[in-house]
Amino acid sequence: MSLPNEPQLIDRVRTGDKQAYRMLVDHYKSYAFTIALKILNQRGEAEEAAQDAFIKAYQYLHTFKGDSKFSTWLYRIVFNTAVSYKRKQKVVFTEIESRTLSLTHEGEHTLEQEDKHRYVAKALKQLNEADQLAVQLFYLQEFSLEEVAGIMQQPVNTVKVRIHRARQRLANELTLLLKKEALTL
Amino acid sequence: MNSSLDEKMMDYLDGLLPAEERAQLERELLTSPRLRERLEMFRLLAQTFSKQSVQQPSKDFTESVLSDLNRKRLSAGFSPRNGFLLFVGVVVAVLVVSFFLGNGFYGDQLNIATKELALPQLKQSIPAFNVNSNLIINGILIVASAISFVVLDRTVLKPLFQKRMHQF
Repeated sequence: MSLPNEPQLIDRVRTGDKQAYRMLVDHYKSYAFTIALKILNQRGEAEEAAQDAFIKAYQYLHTFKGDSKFSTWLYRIVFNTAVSYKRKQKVVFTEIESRTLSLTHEGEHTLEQEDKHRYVAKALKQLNEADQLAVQLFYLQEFSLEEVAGIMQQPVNTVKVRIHRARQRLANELTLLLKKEALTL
Repeated sequence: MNSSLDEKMMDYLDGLLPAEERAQLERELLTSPRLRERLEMFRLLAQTFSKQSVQQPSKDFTESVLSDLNRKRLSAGFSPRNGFLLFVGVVVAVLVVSFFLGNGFYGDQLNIATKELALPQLKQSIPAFNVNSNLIINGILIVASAISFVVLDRTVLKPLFQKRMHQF
């Protein structure tokens, strides 16, 4: 969600007001960090990438013309920065199950629920990285299909197909996994 | 499972299905256990993903960004556009030098200079040695050409292919 006085804040940042930028960073840092984390699967690197993205956004703010939402423009920078960090990553130490799909388990610590999360995470791992990201951003509920497309710099129809295909594949994988699990019981 | 039926079920769960199609799908669900099982899979996905939490960065995140705003000035570096311009520049330079070399321009100049500067006393004090200037210039041209291709690869081709790979 955008800040109510966002255009004014952006104008103030353009005149060198760092306190105005502090408000923008505070408002968008969680989603920026979450996007970077979903791409990098590593908290330290994700934080560094998100910080770099905010610095780039500050330095290139004069290029923001307001054609898209500020958040979409900013998250696109986060996306590109995290992808360039990803290319530099030599070894991925963390497993996707424990990082990519971070879930809250408020009030539902049942074994069944844990199992469901595990299966979904396992199924998610079968998708390519772009499909994983598209479907996760879509389900984050903060982003519309158009915004996911804007962040990933792909046509809306491409992202729509990507998400549709990802959900289908996830459903197929889940069915297989659950059937397999049922046979071993 | 039929792809359009899958799409209908996804739209159903997302609340995007028109009332008429919704009613029809609900009727089909009553009679088809296979369809119900499939819908349950999509529902399970939606439920699980909807519990994704937005992650919080460290407490000093904002301070780190603000303190680095001026210190960490990011250089423009080699953009694909800059890389392409540099590549064109090197290629033009190579072609110009090749043209002059092909017309014997450098060879003549070197001969004249040698003739004019080579004093008899100097000839005696300096030991004789042969330097093939054409060979040196050819070598420089080859190195320049190689550099231009490396520049093209690093700044234009590699980023382009990496971007395309990322887009699948």
